[in-house]
Amino acid sequence: MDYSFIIVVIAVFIIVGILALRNSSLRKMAARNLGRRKGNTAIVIIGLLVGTAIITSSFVMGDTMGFVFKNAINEQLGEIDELVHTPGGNQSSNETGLFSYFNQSYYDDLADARGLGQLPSVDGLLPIVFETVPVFNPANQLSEPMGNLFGVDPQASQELDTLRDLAGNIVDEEEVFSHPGDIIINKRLAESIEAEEGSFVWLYYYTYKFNASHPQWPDVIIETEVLHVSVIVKNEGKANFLYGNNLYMNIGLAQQLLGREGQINLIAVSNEGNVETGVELTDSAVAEIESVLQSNGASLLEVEAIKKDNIEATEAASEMMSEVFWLMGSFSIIAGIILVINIFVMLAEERKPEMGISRAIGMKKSHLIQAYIFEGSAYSLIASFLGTFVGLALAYVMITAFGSIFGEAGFQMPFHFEIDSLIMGFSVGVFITFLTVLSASWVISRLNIVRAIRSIPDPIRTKPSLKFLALGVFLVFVGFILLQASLQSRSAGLFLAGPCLLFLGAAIIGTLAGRPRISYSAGSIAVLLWILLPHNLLETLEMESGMEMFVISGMFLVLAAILLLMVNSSALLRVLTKLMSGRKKTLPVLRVALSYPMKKKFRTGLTLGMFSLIIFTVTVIAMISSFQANSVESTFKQEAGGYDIIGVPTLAPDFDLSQNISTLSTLADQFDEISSFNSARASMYAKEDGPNASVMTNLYGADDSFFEDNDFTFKSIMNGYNSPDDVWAAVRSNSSLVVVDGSVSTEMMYGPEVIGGLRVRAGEQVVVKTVAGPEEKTVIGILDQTFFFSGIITSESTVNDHFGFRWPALYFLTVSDSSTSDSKALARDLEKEFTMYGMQTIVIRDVIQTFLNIASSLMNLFQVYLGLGLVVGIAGLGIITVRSVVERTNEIGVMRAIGYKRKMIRNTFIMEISFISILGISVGVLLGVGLSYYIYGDFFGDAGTFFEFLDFIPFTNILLITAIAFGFTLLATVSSAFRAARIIPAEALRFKE
Amino acid sequence: MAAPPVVQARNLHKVYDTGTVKVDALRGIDLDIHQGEMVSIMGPSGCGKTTLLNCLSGIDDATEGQIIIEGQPIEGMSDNQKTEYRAKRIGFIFQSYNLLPVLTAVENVELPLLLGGIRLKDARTKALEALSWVGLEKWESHRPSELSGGEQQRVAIARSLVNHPAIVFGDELTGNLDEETTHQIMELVLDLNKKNNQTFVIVTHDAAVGEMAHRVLKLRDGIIEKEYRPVPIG
Repeated sequence: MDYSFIIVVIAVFIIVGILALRNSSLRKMAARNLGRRKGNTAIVIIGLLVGTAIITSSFVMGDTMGFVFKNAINEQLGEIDELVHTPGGNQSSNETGLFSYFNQSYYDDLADARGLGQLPSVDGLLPIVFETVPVFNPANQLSEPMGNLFGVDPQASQELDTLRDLAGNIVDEEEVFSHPGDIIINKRLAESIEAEEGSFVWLYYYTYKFNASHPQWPDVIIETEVLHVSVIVKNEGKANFLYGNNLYMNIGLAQQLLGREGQINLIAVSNEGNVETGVELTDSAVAEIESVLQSNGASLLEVEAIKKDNIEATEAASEMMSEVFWLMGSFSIIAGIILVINIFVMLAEERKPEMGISRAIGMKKSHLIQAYIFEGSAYSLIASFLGTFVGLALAYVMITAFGSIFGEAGFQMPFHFEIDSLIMGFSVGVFITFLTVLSASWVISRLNIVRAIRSIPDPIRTKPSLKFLALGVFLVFVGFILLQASLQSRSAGLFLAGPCLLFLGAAIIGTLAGRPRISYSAGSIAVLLWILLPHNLLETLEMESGMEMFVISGMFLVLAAILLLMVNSSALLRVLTKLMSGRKKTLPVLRVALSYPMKKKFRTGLTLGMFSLIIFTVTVIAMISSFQANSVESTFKQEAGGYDIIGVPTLAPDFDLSQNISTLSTLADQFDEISSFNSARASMYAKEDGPNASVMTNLYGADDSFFEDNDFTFKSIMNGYNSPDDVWAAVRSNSSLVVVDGSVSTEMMYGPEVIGGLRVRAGEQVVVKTVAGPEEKTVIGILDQTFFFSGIITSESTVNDHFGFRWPALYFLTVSDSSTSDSKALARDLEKEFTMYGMQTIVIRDVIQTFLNIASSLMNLFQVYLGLGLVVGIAGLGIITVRSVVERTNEIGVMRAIGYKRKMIRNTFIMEISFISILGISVGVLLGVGLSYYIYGDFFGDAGTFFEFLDFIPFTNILLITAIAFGFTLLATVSSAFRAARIIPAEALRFKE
Repeated sequence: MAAPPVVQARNLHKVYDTGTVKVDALRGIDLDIHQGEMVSIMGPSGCGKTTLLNCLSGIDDATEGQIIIEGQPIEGMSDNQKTEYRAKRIGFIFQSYNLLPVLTAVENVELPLLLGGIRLKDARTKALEALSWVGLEKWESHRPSELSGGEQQRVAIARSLVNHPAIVFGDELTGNLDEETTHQIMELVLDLNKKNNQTFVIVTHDAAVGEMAHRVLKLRDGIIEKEYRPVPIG
């Protein structure tokens, strides 16, 4: 945590406190003003605490995520801090596991070195044979295609970490493994195949045999071994490794079965300390191990700081989570700031005569500022203190809701928070409020004493002041600088903001011509068009964008729309009066109701801004939610490429699914197409970026069926190729051409930034490196698909001939008649029939549907979270109405005297409130829907027309949001309207504030 | 036979009760005001002038007694009936002009007409005509803050007369004006009173203004202490 910020905040409030102690009269003024209207004070505090609540909740949600991820890492890895293995992508052609085998003597070297005290940071080393294998329970015919086989040395294993049986007793691994064929399985695997202690299970694995007719690759033989489950252990510590279905056997037995005598493919390392503290020694442990390995000629092995790397990655992920909530919540925070300004402007209006008198009798401007700062500081401290706990509660609700959404997928989210986060949330909240109070106080202290005392309105300027003009010039200058900077930094956010500032600055300067309405209208229309008009500038200029685009767009859109409305308010009023001129009874009410907000432009503008900002965000989220709900078909089309089921055999070697299916009467006629890919792990980098930008990926070699039948769509195609068919034909025949999946360019214009990964464009050269060495390829197409396979697609023969991987490892199947066939049942049949190959299946539509359901639930949750900002808007309107009734008491008296009935007074206020809230809501909805057109493009590509887009507008949802916002606004303000109506005219006429 | 009075008050009492303190603002007022008459109510601060005006005009309720305006007793009317009556038959002029600041001069003047259900177009024509009575037709689109005190009061007079009320009540209508403007406003009121046979009841503490009326009622401690007719005007 950054304590320096907290120290600054504390220092600021200490200074304010000292000033308050030294100025007792100002302190008393502030304190008494605070308690002057208790109802008002309560509404102000409610409005102000929302900002702190949002900030605190985003921190706490980050805490929970960090805690969940860190726990998950500790649970998955237990005592293991580092892994020693061959670098990824170095498997030879007869290995399909994650890591290549190496000589066990390297482990012996490390163990010897440890014995000699050369590895002081290490307290355990474990040689492992690790393979993924199918496990079958013959007693009940249940199988687990993804069993993790760990061949471990029992003595070393116990040194590293202990296994505990279901009763909690430590398992003596040496004793268990002393019985040939005895194994230990974890509870997860036991539950998966319903095995018990004493059960016999079958293990499928493969061995290789040299064949002189094709010496470059050996024959593969699938073997079966019957093993005895001696103990079932708890899913904890090393038994929980990789959250897998784990099976432990003696390393000797594993080596013997797999034909890997004297070989291992993994060394697990535990650092000094326990599960949590061991990671602190990672750097020294890695250095010590590397030194020993190098001195023993094992420089090919790498030491992966698996725990530290994972913890760092999760910290980044939880920070990103915090950031997403921060950014999403920033609209509510901004609305809160507007509320503070609005409140202080109103307080200033209310107290103008007394401020004028205070100034007249000798109070300096700085004294007025101080009095407001004392009062504002009290508001900030109380609101932020309460807001911190409201934020904590809000985070709890959100985490619980998240937990229920992800709970079905087995993902637990225990609520967790750090005290530091609460302190930081409070500090940030209180500081933002304080800064706003400070600037508002400075502005309102600048008053003309005579005008203030006599409550004479400030004169309307026909020409802008010099300071205002300077602001215009400054905005133009900053806008220009931002635009320049955006072209260099490729920041879409700056590129969007620069011209907006430029337009607004130019509008201010334009008022010199004496037509401010035209100048401001032109400036705000320019901003609206710049953001909303569909253009491809951001893509053409290859700008990099992220979540901040959403905030920048929203802020400028709302600012421009409100400015446009306010400068044209007279015209708007004329139109509305004209429209209502036929309604004789309503007209007198309407005229007064609309005239007040239109006269108090600044106050109304701020209130509209608050409403519009919040409704804007909620509408955008509602739109995204609608896109998700409606994009199952388009997502399915994009991600499935015409296929229905994906099949992945764990034991890929020597398995041909098409051939095997053709022999089964139950399945033979069920599939139209079966496309296969042989695959290998590979690293890839864009040639332009160099090997340092290398990322691990997959290399897929597609068979002829895929090239002929797939319907995958492309995000971009290299110039010179006219259609997907052209691209596939080229890849099929030319081994130097490849297609890559859509993850290389997943940036959404308004979506979160994608961390890491490779970025390439169609037409770019990449270097693909496998164990066979590096090869240059040209990317001629980028798929839309990102869900089911990520990597490089080339032809089967290329992968086979160039890289030496010949076994199909991935199948895409098209069900014969998907409208009548049950894809789920067929997928289950495939798994059952090919248990010995560890066949796993994915029903594409189901996965997409599940994914979109979860995403949609999350969006609904976001909607509720952001909807909290409405509290700010509603509190704002509540305060305005309370104030308006007091402010206009005399006028209410006159209106009653000249013939306004009670209900007409009441209706005047209700109509005024309704007008502001409906206008604010409408602006927010329209802008939200407008901006969503871009997001629509992210979901549906360029295929959708504007009219198709209109079909996706969730009218019911938006109507509901609107009704809730409007309803609560009325609830918050209607009592003031009734109070106004009850005022006796004679008393109203006598009233003095 | 003489025409019945436009305003009649009998045994009018008004007590302000704050819960802890009771103040007898009016203590048995009896008066008659006739059509076309201009009556001024004078007296020191706190004598009950404004209270009497408020009760007579129906914007406040008397504690006891009877008020009859144009033959209709107002104490039996509901709040809505009183309001409707005020809208149609009564005009008001206040000390602080009390125009609605957010409306222009013409919009302020046409408000009583709109309340009476007159169409916007007709109301606008009549409001402009009323502004012409007070010589402000060229200031129709100005807001109150853009007018001087005298001009604002003239707009208020136009507003009070636009729907030809039976009676106009004015509460310290020149209280915020300088001597010259006061004279101009009173000339205007007298002229309208004469020309339209309009009944005016004005409360003032300015003897010069009060003496311009047909009849003066001097109040002290909530009762009419003295009633007299000053030297006829003009």
